[in-house]
Amino acid sequence: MKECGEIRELIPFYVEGELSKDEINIVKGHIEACEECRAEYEETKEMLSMLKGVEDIELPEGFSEDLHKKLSKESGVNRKVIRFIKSKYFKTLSTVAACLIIFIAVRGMLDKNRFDFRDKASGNDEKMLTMQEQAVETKSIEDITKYGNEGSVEKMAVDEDVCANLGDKPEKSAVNGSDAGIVDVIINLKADNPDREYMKIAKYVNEQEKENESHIKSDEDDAGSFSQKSNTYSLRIRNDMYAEFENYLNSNYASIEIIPVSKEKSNLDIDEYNRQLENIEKQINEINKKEDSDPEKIEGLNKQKDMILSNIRELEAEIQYTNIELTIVK
Amino acid sequence: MNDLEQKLLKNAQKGDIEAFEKLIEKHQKMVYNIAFRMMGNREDAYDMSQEVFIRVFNAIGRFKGNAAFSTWIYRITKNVCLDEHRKRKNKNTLSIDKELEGEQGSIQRQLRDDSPSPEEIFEKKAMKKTIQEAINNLPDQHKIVIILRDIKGFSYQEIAKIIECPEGTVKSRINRARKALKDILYGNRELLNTEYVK
Repeated sequence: MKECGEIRELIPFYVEGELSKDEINIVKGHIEACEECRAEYEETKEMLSMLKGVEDIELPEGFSEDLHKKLSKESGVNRKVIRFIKSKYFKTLSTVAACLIIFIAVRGMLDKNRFDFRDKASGNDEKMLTMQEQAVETKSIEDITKYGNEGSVEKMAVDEDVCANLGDKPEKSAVNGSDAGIVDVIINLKADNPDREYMKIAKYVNEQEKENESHIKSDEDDAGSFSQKSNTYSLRIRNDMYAEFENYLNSNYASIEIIPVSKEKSNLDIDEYNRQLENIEKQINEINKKEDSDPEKIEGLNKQKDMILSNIRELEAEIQYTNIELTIVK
Repeated sequence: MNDLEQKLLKNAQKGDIEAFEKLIEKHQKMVYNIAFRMMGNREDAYDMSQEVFIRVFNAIGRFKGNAAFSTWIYRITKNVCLDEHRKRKNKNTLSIDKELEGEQGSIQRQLRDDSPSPEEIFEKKAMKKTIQEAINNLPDQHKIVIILRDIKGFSYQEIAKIIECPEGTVKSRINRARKALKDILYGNRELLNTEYVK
Protein backbone atom coordinates (compact mmCIF):
# COMPACT_ATOMS: atom_id res chain seq x y z
CA MET A 1 0.00 0.00 0.00
CA LYS A 2 1.31 3.38 -0.96
CA GLU A 3 1.67 6.28 1.45
CA CYS A 4 -1.08 8.92 1.63
CA GLY A 5 1.39 11.54 0.38
CA GLU A 6 2.00 9.62 -2.83
CA ILE A 7 -1.71 8.98 -3.32
CA ARG A 8 -2.47 12.69 -2.96
CA GLU A 9 -0.01 13.52 -5.71
CA LEU A 10 -2.00 11.20 -7.96
CA ILE A 11 -5.52 12.25 -6.96
CA PRO A 12 -5.90 15.19 -9.39
CA PHE A 13 -4.68 13.04 -12.27
CA TYR A 14 -7.06 10.31 -11.10
CA VAL A 15 -9.95 12.77 -11.27
CA GLU A 16 -8.89 13.82 -14.76
CA GLY A 17 -8.56 10.23 -15.91
CA GLU A 18 -4.89 10.67 -16.73
CA LEU A 19 -3.61 7.60 -14.86
CA SER A 20 -2.74 4.10 -16.02
CA LYS A 21 -5.01 1.19 -15.12
CA ASP A 22 -2.68 0.02 -12.36
CA GLU A 23 -2.51 3.48 -10.84
CA ILE A 24 -6.27 3.87 -11.01
CA ASN A 25 -6.70 0.65 -9.04
CA ILE A 26 -4.17 1.74 -6.43
CA VAL A 27 -5.80 5.14 -5.91
CA LYS A 28 -9.31 3.70 -5.95
CA GLY A 29 -8.42 1.09 -3.37
CA HIS A 30 -6.74 3.63 -1.17
CA ILE A 31 -9.47 6.25 -1.10
CA GLU A 32 -12.04 3.61 -0.30
CA ALA A 33 -10.04 2.67 2.76
CA CYS A 34 -8.65 6.04 3.85
CA GLU A 35 -11.09 8.68 5.01
CA GLU A 36 -8.70 11.63 4.78
CA CYS A 37 -7.65 10.85 1.24
CA ARG A 38 -11.27 10.36 0.32
CA ALA A 39 -12.03 13.88 1.58
CA GLU A 40 -9.06 15.13 -0.41
CA TYR A 41 -10.45 13.37 -3.46
CA GLU A 42 -13.90 14.90 -2.99
CA GLU A 43 -12.48 18.39 -2.65
CA THR A 44 -10.24 17.99 -5.66
CA LYS A 45 -13.09 16.64 -7.73
CA GLU A 46 -15.31 19.54 -6.71
CA MET A 47 -12.62 22.13 -7.39
CA LEU A 48 -11.75 20.74 -10.80
CA SER A 49 -15.39 20.57 -11.80
CA MET A 50 -15.86 24.18 -10.73
CA LEU A 51 -12.86 25.27 -12.74
CA LYS A 52 -14.08 23.31 -15.73
CA GLY A 53 -17.40 25.06 -15.38
CA VAL A 54 -15.94 28.54 -15.49
CA GLU A 55 -17.57 29.86 -18.63
CA ASP A 56 -16.10 31.96 -21.39
CA ILE A 57 -16.97 35.62 -21.54
CA GLU A 58 -17.88 37.20 -24.85
CA LEU A 59 -15.51 39.35 -26.82
CA PRO A 60 -16.51 43.00 -26.26
CA GLU A 61 -18.15 44.84 -29.12
CA GLY A 62 -15.82 46.79 -31.32
CA PHE A 63 -12.82 44.63 -30.45
CA SER A 64 -12.02 43.80 -34.06
CA GLU A 65 -12.62 47.34 -35.30
CA ASP A 66 -10.38 48.76 -32.62
CA LEU A 67 -7.69 46.23 -33.47
CA HIS A 68 -8.03 47.02 -37.16
CA LYS A 69 -7.28 50.69 -36.49
CA LYS A 70 -4.24 49.82 -34.44
CA LEU A 71 -2.96 47.39 -37.05
CA SER A 72 -3.35 49.95 -39.84
CA LYS A 73 -1.42 52.43 -37.78
CA GLU A 74 1.21 49.83 -36.95
CA SER A 75 1.69 48.82 -40.56
CA GLY A 76 1.87 52.52 -41.52
CA VAL A 77 4.60 53.08 -38.96
CA ASN A 78 6.51 50.06 -40.23
CA ARG A 79 6.36 51.29 -43.78
CA LYS A 80 7.56 54.71 -42.71
CA VAL A 81 10.46 53.15 -40.82
CA ILE A 82 11.43 51.08 -43.85
CA ARG A 83 11.22 54.11 -46.13
CA PHE A 84 13.34 56.06 -43.68
CA ILE A 85 15.98 53.33 -43.49
CA LYS A 86 16.21 53.27 -47.26
CA SER A 87 16.57 57.04 -47.52
CA LYS A 88 19.88 58.88 -48.11
CA TYR A 89 19.28 60.88 -44.96
CA PHE A 90 19.43 57.72 -42.90
CA LYS A 91 22.67 56.63 -44.57
CA THR A 92 24.39 59.89 -43.67
CA LEU A 93 22.98 59.75 -40.17
CA SER A 94 24.08 56.17 -39.60
CA THR A 95 27.62 56.98 -40.77
CA VAL A 96 27.80 59.83 -38.28
CA ALA A 97 26.40 57.57 -35.57
CA ALA A 98 28.95 54.85 -36.37
CA CYS A 99 31.80 57.37 -36.05
CA LEU A 100 30.39 58.50 -32.72
CA ILE A 101 30.12 54.94 -31.44
CA ILE A 102 33.75 54.22 -32.36
CA PHE A 103 34.80 57.39 -30.61
CA ILE A 104 32.87 56.45 -27.46
CA ALA A 105 34.25 52.91 -27.59
CA VAL A 106 37.80 54.22 -27.72
CA ARG A 107 37.10 56.56 -24.83
CA GLY A 108 35.56 53.68 -22.94
CA MET A 109 38.69 51.58 -23.48
CA LEU A 110 40.84 54.28 -21.96
CA ASP A 111 38.53 54.50 -18.96
CA LYS A 112 38.08 50.77 -18.64
CA ASN A 113 39.40 50.49 -15.11
CA ARG A 114 36.64 52.69 -13.83
CA PHE A 115 33.94 50.22 -14.75
CA ASP A 116 33.09 47.52 -12.33
CA PHE A 117 29.55 46.27 -12.44
CA ARG A 118 29.95 43.17 -10.36
CA ASP A 119 26.72 42.03 -8.91
CA LYS A 120 27.00 41.78 -5.17
CA ALA A 121 24.39 39.07 -4.91
CA SER A 122 26.25 36.49 -6.90
CA GLY A 123 27.44 34.59 -3.84
CA ASN A 124 30.11 31.91 -3.91
CA ASP A 125 30.82 32.16 -7.58
CA GLU A 126 31.95 35.69 -7.04
CA LYS A 127 35.39 34.72 -5.76
CA MET A 128 36.04 32.56 -8.76
CA LEU A 129 34.77 35.21 -11.09
CA THR A 130 36.77 37.92 -9.41
CA MET A 131 39.88 35.90 -10.17
CA GLN A 132 38.82 35.57 -13.77
CA GLU A 133 38.04 39.22 -13.92
CA GLN A 134 41.45 40.09 -12.63
CA ALA A 135 42.91 38.03 -15.42
CA VAL A 136 40.84 40.01 -17.88
CA GLU A 137 41.66 43.30 -16.29
CA THR A 138 45.38 42.64 -16.14
CA LYS A 139 45.36 41.83 -19.79
CA SER A 140 43.36 44.88 -20.73
CA ILE A 141 45.51 47.13 -18.61
CA GLU A 142 48.51 45.79 -20.47
CA ASP A 143 46.85 46.64 -23.74
CA ILE A 144 45.82 50.04 -22.55
CA THR A 145 49.29 50.92 -21.35
CA LYS A 146 50.71 49.63 -24.59
CA TYR A 147 48.53 51.88 -26.69
CA GLY A 148 47.54 54.50 -24.16
CA ASN A 149 51.07 55.67 -23.69
CA GLU A 150 51.52 56.17 -27.34
CA GLY A 151 48.33 58.20 -27.23
CA SER A 152 47.51 57.51 -30.82
CA VAL A 153 43.80 57.45 -31.39
CA GLU A 154 44.09 56.10 -34.92
CA LYS A 155 46.03 53.14 -33.70
CA MET A 156 43.36 52.47 -31.10
CA ALA A 157 40.66 52.61 -33.72
CA VAL A 158 42.51 50.15 -35.93
CA ASP A 159 42.65 47.77 -32.98
CA GLU A 160 38.96 47.95 -32.42
CA ASP A 161 38.63 44.22 -32.84
CA VAL A 162 40.98 43.79 -29.95
CA CYS A 163 38.64 45.81 -27.74
CA ALA A 164 35.62 43.92 -28.85
CA ASN A 165 37.22 40.60 -28.05
CA LEU A 166 38.90 41.58 -24.83
CA GLY A 167 35.87 40.37 -22.93
CA ASP A 168 35.92 36.83 -24.18
CA LYS A 169 39.36 35.69 -25.04
CA PRO A 170 41.28 35.90 -21.80
CA GLU A 171 38.18 34.89 -19.92
CA LYS A 172 37.81 31.66 -21.82
CA SER A 173 41.33 30.63 -21.05
CA ALA A 174 40.74 31.44 -17.41
CA VAL A 175 37.60 29.40 -17.42
CA ASN A 176 39.04 26.22 -18.87
CA GLY A 177 40.67 24.97 -15.72
CA SER A 178 37.80 25.48 -13.33
CA ASP A 179 34.52 23.77 -12.67
CA ALA A 180 32.72 27.00 -11.93
CA GLY A 181 33.37 28.16 -15.46
CA ILE A 182 31.28 25.55 -17.24
CA VAL A 183 29.25 27.18 -19.95
CA ASP A 184 26.12 25.42 -21.18
CA VAL A 185 24.86 28.12 -23.47
CA ILE A 186 26.43 31.09 -25.19
CA ILE A 187 24.03 33.91 -25.94
CA ASN A 188 24.97 36.84 -28.14
CA LEU A 189 22.77 39.89 -28.18
CA LYS A 190 22.82 43.16 -29.99
CA ALA A 191 21.63 46.21 -28.12
CA ASP A 192 22.32 49.93 -28.26
CA ASN A 193 23.32 50.17 -24.68
CA PRO A 194 24.86 46.92 -23.35
CA ASP A 195 25.11 48.13 -19.77
CA ARG A 196 21.50 49.15 -19.65
CA GLU A 197 20.38 45.88 -21.26
CA TYR A 198 22.45 43.95 -18.77
CA MET A 199 20.75 45.78 -15.91
CA LYS A 200 17.38 45.00 -17.47
CA ILE A 201 18.14 41.31 -17.87
CA ALA A 202 19.63 41.11 -14.37
CA LYS A 203 16.50 42.66 -12.99
CA TYR A 204 14.35 40.20 -14.91
CA VAL A 205 16.35 37.24 -13.59
CA ASN A 206 16.08 38.49 -10.02
CA GLU A 207 12.36 38.97 -10.35
CA GLN A 208 11.95 35.51 -11.79
CA GLU A 209 13.76 34.12 -8.81
CA LYS A 210 11.50 35.97 -6.44
CA GLU A 211 8.41 34.86 -8.27
CA ASN A 212 9.47 31.25 -8.08
CA GLU A 213 10.40 31.28 -4.43
CA SER A 214 7.01 30.01 -3.51
CA HIS A 215 7.62 26.84 -5.49
CA ILE A 216 10.87 25.82 -3.95
CA LYS A 217 11.33 26.39 -0.30
CA SER A 218 14.94 25.36 0.08
CA ASP A 219 17.77 27.03 -1.73
CA GLU A 220 16.33 30.48 -1.37
CA ASP A 221 19.74 32.07 -1.19
CA ASP A 222 20.96 30.14 -4.15
CA ALA A 223 19.32 32.31 -6.75
CA GLY A 224 20.40 32.75 -10.34
CA SER A 225 23.41 34.98 -10.35
CA PHE A 226 25.06 37.50 -12.53
CA SER A 227 28.57 38.65 -12.86
CA GLN A 228 30.01 40.96 -15.43
CA LYS A 229 33.27 41.18 -17.26
CA SER A 230 33.59 43.72 -20.04
CA ASN A 231 30.54 43.18 -22.26
CA THR A 232 30.35 39.47 -21.47
CA TYR A 233 28.28 38.40 -18.50
CA SER A 234 28.25 35.09 -16.70
CA LEU A 235 24.87 34.11 -15.54
CA ARG A 236 23.30 30.99 -14.21
CA ILE A 237 19.64 30.32 -14.11
CA ARG A 238 17.56 27.46 -12.79
CA ASN A 239 16.78 24.90 -15.47
CA ASP A 240 13.07 25.07 -14.83
CA MET A 241 13.20 28.77 -15.55
CA TYR A 242 15.60 28.65 -18.44
CA ALA A 243 13.08 28.06 -21.21
CA GLU A 244 11.13 31.06 -20.07
CA PHE A 245 14.28 33.13 -19.91
CA GLU A 246 15.15 32.19 -23.48
CA ASN A 247 11.64 33.05 -24.50
CA TYR A 248 11.92 36.41 -22.76
CA LEU A 249 15.10 37.20 -24.67
CA ASN A 250 13.61 36.04 -27.95
CA SER A 251 10.58 38.21 -27.57
CA ASN A 252 12.59 41.28 -26.56
CA TYR A 253 15.60 41.24 -28.85
CA ALA A 254 15.51 41.10 -32.58
CA SER A 255 19.16 40.26 -33.00
CA ILE A 256 19.95 37.28 -30.84
CA GLU A 257 22.05 34.18 -31.18
CA ILE A 258 21.72 31.22 -28.82
CA ILE A 259 24.40 28.56 -29.02
CA PRO A 260 24.10 25.50 -26.75
CA VAL A 261 27.59 24.34 -25.75
CA SER A 262 27.76 21.46 -23.30
CA LYS A 263 24.62 19.50 -22.69
CA GLU A 264 26.26 16.41 -21.22
CA LYS A 265 26.72 18.26 -17.95
CA SER A 266 23.21 19.54 -17.60
CA ASN A 267 21.65 16.08 -17.63
CA LEU A 268 18.78 14.61 -19.55
CA ASP A 269 15.48 15.93 -18.44
CA ILE A 270 12.95 13.97 -16.46
CA ASP A 271 10.88 13.16 -19.52
CA GLU A 272 13.82 11.44 -21.15
CA TYR A 273 14.48 9.37 -18.03
CA ASN A 274 10.84 8.41 -17.87
CA ARG A 275 11.04 7.25 -21.46
CA GLN A 276 14.08 5.12 -20.67
CA LEU A 277 12.31 3.74 -17.64
CA GLU A 278 9.31 2.69 -19.68
CA ASN A 279 11.60 1.02 -22.15
CA ILE A 280 13.35 -1.03 -19.50
CA GLU A 281 10.09 -2.03 -17.87
CA LYS A 282 8.86 -3.22 -21.22
CA GLN A 283 11.99 -5.32 -21.67
CA ILE A 284 11.60 -6.83 -18.21
CA ASN A 285 7.98 -7.70 -18.92
CA GLU A 286 8.92 -9.37 -22.19
CA ILE A 287 11.63 -11.45 -20.57
CA ASN A 288 9.26 -12.46 -17.78
CA LYS A 289 6.76 -13.71 -20.34
CA LYS A 290 9.29 -16.09 -21.87
CA GLU A 291 9.51 -19.51 -20.27
CA ASP A 292 13.28 -19.73 -20.14
CA SER A 293 13.81 -16.27 -18.62
CA ASP A 294 17.39 -15.40 -17.77
CA PRO A 295 17.61 -14.23 -14.13
CA GLU A 296 20.94 -12.51 -14.72
CA LYS A 297 19.53 -10.45 -17.52
CA ILE A 298 16.58 -9.39 -15.39
CA GLU A 299 18.88 -8.51 -12.56
CA GLY A 300 20.95 -6.34 -14.90
CA LEU A 301 17.85 -4.58 -16.16
CA ASN A 302 16.59 -4.05 -12.63
CA LYS A 303 19.89 -2.44 -11.74
CA GLN A 304 19.56 -0.11 -14.70
CA LYS A 305 16.02 0.67 -13.60
CA ASP A 306 17.19 1.54 -10.09
CA MET A 307 19.87 3.78 -11.49
CA ILE A 308 17.39 5.72 -13.62
CA LEU A 309 15.00 5.98 -10.69
CA SER A 310 17.69 7.41 -8.47
CA ASN A 311 18.66 9.83 -11.24
CA ILE A 312 15.08 11.01 -11.47
CA ARG A 313 14.90 11.43 -7.72
CA GLU A 314 18.13 13.39 -7.75
CA LEU A 315 16.88 15.59 -10.57
CA GLU A 316 13.68 16.26 -8.73
CA ALA A 317 15.40 16.96 -5.46
CA GLU A 318 18.08 19.38 -6.48
CA ILE A 319 17.80 22.53 -8.46
CA GLN A 320 19.71 22.30 -11.70
CA TYR A 321 21.26 25.30 -13.30
CA THR A 322 22.09 26.31 -16.81
CA ASN A 323 25.27 28.32 -17.04
CA ILE A 324 25.06 31.08 -19.57
CA GLU A 325 27.69 33.27 -21.09
CA LEU A 326 25.89 36.35 -22.29
CA THR A 327 27.61 38.79 -24.60
CA ILE A 328 25.89 42.06 -25.41
CA VAL A 329 27.36 44.08 -28.23
CA LYS A 330 26.29 47.29 -29.84
CA MET B 1 -3.33 24.58 -40.61
CA ASN B 2 -5.39 24.08 -43.75
CA ASP B 3 -4.63 25.39 -47.24
CA LEU B 4 -6.70 28.52 -46.82
CA GLU B 5 -4.94 29.36 -43.56
CA GLN B 6 -1.55 28.71 -45.16
CA LYS B 7 -2.45 31.18 -47.86
CA LEU B 8 -3.72 33.71 -45.35
CA LEU B 9 -0.53 33.28 -43.35
CA LYS B 10 1.64 33.96 -46.40
CA ASN B 11 -0.31 37.09 -47.22
CA ALA B 12 -0.29 38.23 -43.61
CA GLN B 13 3.46 37.81 -43.58
CA LYS B 14 3.62 40.23 -46.49
CA GLY B 15 1.71 42.78 -44.40
CA ASP B 16 -1.85 42.11 -45.58
CA ILE B 17 -3.99 43.23 -42.64
CA GLU B 18 -7.20 41.65 -43.87
CA ALA B 19 -5.57 38.27 -44.31
CA PHE B 20 -4.13 38.63 -40.85
CA GLU B 21 -7.52 39.44 -39.39
CA LYS B 22 -9.10 36.40 -40.99
CA LEU B 23 -6.28 34.26 -39.68
CA ILE B 24 -6.67 35.36 -36.07
CA GLU B 25 -10.45 35.56 -36.02
CA LYS B 26 -11.02 32.20 -34.38
CA HIS B 27 -8.33 32.78 -31.75
CA GLN B 28 -9.62 36.13 -30.52
CA LYS B 29 -12.08 34.82 -27.99
CA MET B 30 -9.63 32.33 -26.52
CA VAL B 31 -6.91 34.98 -26.20
CA TYR B 32 -9.38 37.38 -24.58
CA ASN B 33 -10.53 34.74 -22.13
CA ILE B 34 -7.04 33.63 -21.17
CA ALA B 35 -6.14 37.28 -20.66
CA PHE B 36 -9.31 37.83 -18.62
CA ARG B 37 -8.41 35.00 -16.25
CA MET B 38 -4.80 36.15 -16.07
CA MET B 39 -5.58 39.81 -15.44
CA GLY B 40 -8.79 39.41 -13.43
CA ASN B 41 -10.82 42.15 -15.11
CA ARG B 42 -12.31 42.92 -18.51
CA GLU B 43 -10.57 46.21 -19.06
CA ASP B 44 -7.09 44.79 -18.73
CA ALA B 45 -8.10 41.70 -20.67
CA TYR B 46 -9.13 43.96 -23.54
CA ASP B 47 -5.89 45.91 -23.56
CA MET B 48 -3.77 42.78 -23.24
CA SER B 49 -5.57 40.99 -26.07
CA GLN B 50 -5.14 43.97 -28.37
CA GLU B 51 -1.47 44.08 -27.47
CA VAL B 52 -1.17 40.33 -28.15
CA PHE B 53 -2.47 40.66 -31.69
CA ILE B 54 -0.33 43.69 -32.42
CA ARG B 55 2.71 41.72 -31.28
CA VAL B 56 1.61 38.73 -33.34
CA PHE B 57 1.17 40.99 -36.36
CA ASN B 58 4.61 42.55 -35.96
CA ALA B 59 6.28 39.18 -35.44
CA ILE B 60 4.35 37.13 -37.97
CA GLY B 61 7.16 37.45 -40.51
CA ARG B 62 9.31 35.48 -38.12
CA PHE B 63 6.73 32.72 -37.58
CA LYS B 64 8.36 29.64 -39.06
CA GLY B 65 5.62 27.15 -38.38
CA ASN B 66 7.71 25.09 -35.96
CA ALA B 67 4.85 25.23 -33.50
CA ALA B 68 1.16 25.36 -34.29
CA PHE B 69 -0.04 28.89 -35.02
CA SER B 70 -2.46 28.73 -32.09
CA THR B 71 0.27 27.56 -29.71
CA TRP B 72 2.40 30.48 -30.82
CA ILE B 73 -0.41 32.98 -30.23
CA TYR B 74 -1.18 31.59 -26.77
CA ARG B 75 2.51 31.70 -25.91
CA ILE B 76 2.55 35.39 -26.81
CA THR B 77 -0.64 35.86 -24.77
CA LYS B 78 1.06 34.37 -21.74
CA ASN B 79 4.13 36.57 -22.31
CA VAL B 80 2.12 39.77 -22.70
CA CYS B 81 0.19 39.13 -19.48
CA LEU B 82 3.27 38.15 -17.49
CA ASP B 83 5.17 41.18 -18.81
CA GLU B 84 2.34 43.44 -17.70
CA HIS B 85 2.29 41.90 -14.22
CA ARG B 86 6.03 42.36 -13.98
CA LYS B 87 5.75 45.99 -15.04
CA ARG B 88 3.06 46.64 -12.48
CA LYS B 89 4.97 44.93 -9.73
CA ASN B 90 7.82 47.30 -10.47
CA LYS B 91 5.52 50.27 -10.27
CA ASN B 92 3.74 48.84 -7.24
CA THR B 93 0.35 49.63 -8.71
CA LEU B 94 -1.06 46.16 -8.47
CA SER B 95 -3.35 46.18 -5.51
CA ILE B 96 -4.45 42.96 -3.91
CA ASP B 97 -7.71 44.60 -2.96
CA LYS B 98 -8.49 45.61 -6.49
CA GLU B 99 -12.03 44.67 -7.29
CA LEU B 100 -12.18 41.59 -9.39
CA GLU B 101 -14.88 40.60 -11.76
CA GLY B 102 -16.37 37.20 -12.07
CA GLU B 103 -19.32 36.35 -14.22
CA GLN B 104 -22.35 35.62 -12.12
CA GLY B 105 -24.00 32.26 -12.11
CA SER B 106 -21.61 30.34 -14.26
CA ILE B 107 -20.05 28.34 -11.49
CA GLN B 108 -23.09 27.51 -9.47
CA ARG B 109 -24.66 25.72 -12.38
CA GLN B 110 -21.79 23.28 -12.42
CA LEU B 111 -22.20 22.17 -8.84
CA ARG B 112 -23.73 18.82 -8.09
CA ASP B 113 -27.46 19.02 -7.94
CA ASP B 114 -28.27 16.89 -4.92
CA SER B 115 -30.61 19.30 -3.11
CA PRO B 116 -28.09 20.96 -0.84
CA SER B 117 -28.85 22.14 2.67
CA PRO B 118 -28.99 25.92 3.37
CA GLU B 119 -25.49 25.72 4.80
CA GLU B 120 -24.27 24.12 1.62
CA ILE B 121 -25.95 26.74 -0.52
CA PHE B 122 -24.29 29.45 1.49
CA GLU B 123 -20.99 27.66 1.22
CA LYS B 124 -21.23 27.28 -2.52
CA LYS B 125 -22.22 30.87 -3.07
CA ALA B 126 -19.23 31.91 -1.06
CA MET B 127 -17.04 29.63 -3.14
CA LYS B 128 -18.37 30.94 -6.42
CA LYS B 129 -17.33 34.39 -5.36
CA THR B 130 -14.05 33.13 -4.04
CA ILE B 131 -12.90 31.06 -6.99
CA GLN B 132 -12.15 34.02 -9.25
CA GLU B 133 -10.38 35.82 -6.44
CA ALA B 134 -8.50 32.67 -5.56
CA ILE B 135 -7.22 32.34 -9.11
CA ASN B 136 -6.19 35.97 -9.08
CA ASN B 137 -4.25 35.50 -5.89
CA LEU B 138 -2.14 32.68 -7.29
CA PRO B 139 1.40 33.46 -8.45
CA ASP B 140 1.58 33.96 -12.22
CA GLN B 141 3.32 30.67 -12.88
CA HIS B 142 0.52 28.80 -11.10
CA LYS B 143 -2.23 30.90 -12.58
CA ILE B 144 -1.26 30.21 -16.17
CA VAL B 145 -1.22 26.41 -15.81
CA ILE B 146 -4.54 26.37 -13.94
CA ILE B 147 -6.14 28.53 -16.62
CA LEU B 148 -4.78 26.49 -19.50
CA ARG B 149 -5.39 23.06 -18.00
CA ASP B 150 -8.33 23.25 -15.62
CA ILE B 151 -10.36 26.06 -17.16
CA LYS B 152 -9.53 25.82 -20.85
CA GLY B 153 -8.79 22.09 -20.94
CA PHE B 154 -5.54 22.13 -22.93
CA SER B 155 -3.58 18.87 -22.93
CA TYR B 156 -0.36 18.65 -20.94
CA GLN B 157 1.53 18.39 -24.20
CA GLU B 158 0.01 21.59 -25.57
CA ILE B 159 0.67 23.42 -22.31
CA ALA B 160 4.29 22.26 -22.39
CA LYS B 161 4.61 23.86 -25.82
CA ILE B 162 2.86 27.07 -24.81
CA ILE B 163 4.87 27.70 -21.68
CA GLU B 164 8.00 26.08 -23.15
CA CYS B 165 8.69 23.64 -20.34
CA PRO B 166 9.06 19.86 -20.42
CA GLU B 167 5.83 17.98 -19.82
CA GLY B 168 7.16 16.64 -16.53
CA THR B 169 7.68 20.18 -15.30
CA VAL B 170 4.17 21.15 -16.37
CA LYS B 171 2.71 18.26 -14.39
CA SER B 172 4.62 19.04 -11.22
CA ARG B 173 3.84 22.73 -11.58
CA ILE B 174 0.15 22.09 -12.01
CA ASN B 175 0.16 19.83 -8.97
CA ARG B 176 1.63 22.63 -6.90
CA ALA B 177 -0.79 25.13 -8.41
CA ARG B 178 -3.81 22.97 -7.59
CA LYS B 179 -2.59 22.48 -4.06
CA ALA B 180 -2.21 26.24 -3.65
CA LEU B 181 -5.64 26.91 -5.13
CA LYS B 182 -7.26 24.27 -2.97
CA ASP B 183 -5.65 25.76 0.11
CA ILE B 184 -7.09 29.16 -0.76
CA LEU B 185 -10.55 27.81 -1.55
CA TYR B 186 -11.05 25.22 1.16
CA GLY B 187 -9.09 27.10 3.75
CA ASN B 188 -11.73 29.79 3.28
CA ARG B 189 -14.54 27.32 3.54
CA GLU B 190 -13.34 26.08 6.87
CA LEU B 191 -13.24 29.66 8.06
CA LEU B 192 -16.75 30.23 6.79
CA ASN B 193 -18.00 27.10 8.49
CA THR B 194 -16.70 28.13 11.87
CA GLU B 195 -17.77 31.73 11.58
CA TYR B 196 -21.22 31.58 10.09
CA VAL B 197 -22.71 28.17 10.01
CA LYS B 198 -22.80 27.47 13.72
